[in-house]
Amino acid sequence: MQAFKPSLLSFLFSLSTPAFSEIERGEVIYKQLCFNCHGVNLDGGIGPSLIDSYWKNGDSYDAIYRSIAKGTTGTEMIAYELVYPEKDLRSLTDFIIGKQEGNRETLRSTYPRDYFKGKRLHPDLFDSIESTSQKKLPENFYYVERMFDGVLRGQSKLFIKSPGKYRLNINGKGRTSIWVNGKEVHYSNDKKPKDTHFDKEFELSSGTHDLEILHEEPTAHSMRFGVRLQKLNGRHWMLTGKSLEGSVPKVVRSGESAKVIRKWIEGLPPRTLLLLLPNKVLLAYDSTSGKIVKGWESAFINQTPSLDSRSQKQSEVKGKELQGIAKTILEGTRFNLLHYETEGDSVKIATLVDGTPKSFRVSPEGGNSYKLTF
Amino acid sequence: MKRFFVLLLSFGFSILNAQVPDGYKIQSIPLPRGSVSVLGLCHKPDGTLAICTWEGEVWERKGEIWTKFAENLMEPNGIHYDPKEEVYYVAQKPELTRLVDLNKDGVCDRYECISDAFGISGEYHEYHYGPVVDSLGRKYASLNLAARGEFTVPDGKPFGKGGGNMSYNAPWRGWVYRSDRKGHFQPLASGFRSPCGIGMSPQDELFITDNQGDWVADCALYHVREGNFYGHPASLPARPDFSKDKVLSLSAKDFEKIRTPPAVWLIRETIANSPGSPIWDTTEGKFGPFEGQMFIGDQRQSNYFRSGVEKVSGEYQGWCVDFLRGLDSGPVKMSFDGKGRLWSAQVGRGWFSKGGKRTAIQYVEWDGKTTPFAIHSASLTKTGFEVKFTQRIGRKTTPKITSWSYHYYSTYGSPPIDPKELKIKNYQLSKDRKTVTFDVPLQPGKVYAIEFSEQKNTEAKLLDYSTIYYTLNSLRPAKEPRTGRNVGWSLAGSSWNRNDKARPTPPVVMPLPLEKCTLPTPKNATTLDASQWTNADWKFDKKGVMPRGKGNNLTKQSYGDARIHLEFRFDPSDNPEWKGQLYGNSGIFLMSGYELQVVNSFQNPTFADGTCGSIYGQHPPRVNASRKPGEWQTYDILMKAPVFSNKGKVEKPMRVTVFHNGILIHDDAWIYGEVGGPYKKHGKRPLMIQDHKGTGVSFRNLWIIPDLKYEKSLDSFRNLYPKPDNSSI
Repeated sequence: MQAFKPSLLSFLFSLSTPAFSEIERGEVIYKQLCFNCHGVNLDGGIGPSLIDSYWKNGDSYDAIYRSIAKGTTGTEMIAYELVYPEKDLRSLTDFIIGKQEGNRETLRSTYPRDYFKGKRLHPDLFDSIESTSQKKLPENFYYVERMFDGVLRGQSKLFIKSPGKYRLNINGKGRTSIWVNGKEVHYSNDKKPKDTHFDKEFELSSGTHDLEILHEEPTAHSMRFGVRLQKLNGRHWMLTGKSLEGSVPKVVRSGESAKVIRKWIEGLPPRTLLLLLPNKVLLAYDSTSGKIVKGWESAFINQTPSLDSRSQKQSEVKGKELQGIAKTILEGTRFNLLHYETEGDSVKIATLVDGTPKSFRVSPEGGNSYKLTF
Repeated sequence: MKRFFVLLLSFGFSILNAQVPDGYKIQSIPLPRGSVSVLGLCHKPDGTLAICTWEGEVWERKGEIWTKFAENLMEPNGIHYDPKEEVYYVAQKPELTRLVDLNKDGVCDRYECISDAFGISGEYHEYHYGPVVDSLGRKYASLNLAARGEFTVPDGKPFGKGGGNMSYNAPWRGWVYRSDRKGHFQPLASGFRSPCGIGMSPQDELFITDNQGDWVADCALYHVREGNFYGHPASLPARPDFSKDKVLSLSAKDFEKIRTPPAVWLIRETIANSPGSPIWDTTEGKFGPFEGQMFIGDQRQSNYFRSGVEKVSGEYQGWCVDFLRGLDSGPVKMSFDGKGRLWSAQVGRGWFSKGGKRTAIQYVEWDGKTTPFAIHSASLTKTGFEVKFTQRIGRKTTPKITSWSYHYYSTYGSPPIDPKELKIKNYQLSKDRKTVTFDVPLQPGKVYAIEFSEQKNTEAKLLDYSTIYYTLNSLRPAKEPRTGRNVGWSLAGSSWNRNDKARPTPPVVMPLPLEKCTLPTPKNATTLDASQWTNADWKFDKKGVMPRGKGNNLTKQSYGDARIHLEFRFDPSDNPEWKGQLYGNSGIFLMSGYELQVVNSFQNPTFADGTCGSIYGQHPPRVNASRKPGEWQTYDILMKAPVFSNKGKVEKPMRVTVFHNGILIHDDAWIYGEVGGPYKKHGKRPLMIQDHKGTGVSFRNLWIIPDLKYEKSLDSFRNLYPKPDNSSI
């Protein structure tokens, strides 16, 4: 393996990197307006997260610019070209692009298997034949249809913020060739699923890099191939995964009425009732102890992580944690939940405490508080 | 072994040829927006379809329109509509929930917790499946073990190499339970691993399907009988006669002795990998020629297969055969609609489904006239099998018979042990050309694959699915017991007959010391001293002890709801003739008609529902907490009188909660009827103590608090005594 050298492309990119002041202007606009829906940290709110691995309308510079300029019908995302001059929108796009990290702009092409029989996988070989399909994936990783019978080519950009040594961890079966900035960094041909390949390290500078993944494996119900990009002693990104189609980010937000939500959240007992009030205050009421154990303001629940596979991953609470919120609502030793219902902006909960029925009501108060009535 | 796999492969190929039997077709239904994975469905009597989704929503489909009924639930894994109460019941992960639409606007307003007495650690695999309902309206649901945790039963093998993986992280995981009403939880049977399928037969028999894995050799269909253990030992710590240490000290050989095998093995890869809930064809012919048979969907195979059971030597065993393939996704729960169409909720999420789609709702419809050429069913004879076809068969071709058994061990799944092709003799075809019989060497504990790959009908058509699998647990006895009933059991939902000698007897536990069980008489209690009884032959001595006299003894007063305390003592006897039900028999007849059994059960075996503390002929006590003869024992009883309609029909059955020697033996149990027969309308009636043949028994310190409100008193009564160390009861 050769030590990694920045390619011409990334060099060109570094030339075209926008001036600092332009990004700063983008940040100013973001903090004036966009954060309301997309969150201070770009991790979503009313609108989707801008730093996760799912980009419904594309994550290329052009796609992001288009989404801002033209808006998205059916959402609160209006056509901002009517509000801001093009220069500002470009600055804003630069700002968002600047926050990206990992694999982006995933383009998946598929090719007929027969053509590659007995030939070494190489980008030139792929360029010599027409693909059978080509798709810009909304996800920032690769996957194929069930029982896929063909050869996969993935082309994308790696957004690297932290320069240093990286390596690829690969497992699966079949032939794999991986190229970064026009250089092959990995090749394997496994007859059987072997232990993970831990490839030699290579350097990546900050900026964007071209990634190309070529892969063929025997037809199976789902692809066995898995690739992970790992920064040494740092974070990692999965470059393969399962389609998120059908489980596009699903969040539960406050509405006009209060809501009671039953979701499994890290660190909370499974029998917690999550009370989401219209003022976006979220209270975690543990029905087995009669206590409010946690609370958040500007909160919503992101169910997306739990939607894939078998629910191994919990849903998550988003929002700002309220300090000093823990409170015993009902005193007692034995708690049996009887029922709950929502009445307008409030939640009513009835519980048997040491054999005696008790009920209370939780209502919103102000922007970040709640009140209890018994 | 190699040959066997070739055999399986050839089944595989025959499956590829045919998918949907003649006369049937599959239809798909568009899903409501946001329904990413459908886990359950049911029909209302008006034809409305209701589904529940993994994402936590309940949707109703009237005509073609979907409306959202409920949301923000935690992984509801099954839905049932109660037409009388006009509510839905769903098994959310942490609880059994009743969804009530108070103002009838089509949206759930109130979420009621019906039962959450089981444990949940939060491990993702702790799924909760159900509910299904018996003819009395009682709900049944099943509880998955966790996929990871501290308590696994490796049986000496290393983790990851045959040492099991499913873990008991919280009380009652790996059990099936019943809930009669809000707040009630009655654990029924243990030993389940991943009991995704749950079904109630038209005869009130509970069936569970489980997934192969550690301690589960292959996919299985179990007939669930109250008190039985079905094989996965990680569930045993909940049993009062086990502890974690005890379970770990035992081996597969020990568990084998108490295990009930599946009624039907559902052969992996060919029939099922992840079977869902069974449903019975009660369409009266609307779904074709399989009336009364079980239909089960498999999540992996994306098929429907059929199954049937028959009583042999008092237990169910039976067969399975594939029926239809090519569904969009993996069926887990099913429902027949009023037109006799078989619907299924299908999911391919988490576990791969051959259908390929992430989720689907589909129904299968029969055209009402075309009889497909299929194996109808199989039955065990004394010397071999009888197999029925749906059509007349052409020239008979000899079936190929293969048989094998399975390991019972902590390793994930079992390969078939010693599969052998067997020679058949005496192959006969019935006059109507639809039934064949043959003799073959029979051995209990084996599965028989009966394959008719060459068999054609009179129109030279081959079978769609040519192999039927029979699970042989028992041979036909030389003399069939002539019990009169070949299906069903007399005790609804528990699948036992009254006084069934085969029913497991309650586990023996340590009673509380007597001084802890002798409570001071409360101020509002009536002491039932000599002045309160009608039979002069029952006399109190100076110490306040009343030996059993001649004839039953009734109180002068009549009672309804009440709390009762009494103490009893058996005269020690060495006479070997006075044992079983003759060792100190009497009975506390609540309201003169409902018997709480009094009999010596200290090292004196008898049938389960005749044990001391049983509701005689109905419920064995949860545990046997008896003391030795000669020592005083106590009963504390909280009871609620039955409620009858004006026409005399029982509206609310009688309920009791009972402590024997300070140990809870009935937790809000529902009484089925009087000891001698069904409910008959009555008001308050005297308390009665029974005279019965047998050695002597005496009573003392009897008191009653009349008209005590049952519901209000239940919680504090349940906590009358400290709980024993085994905290799950």
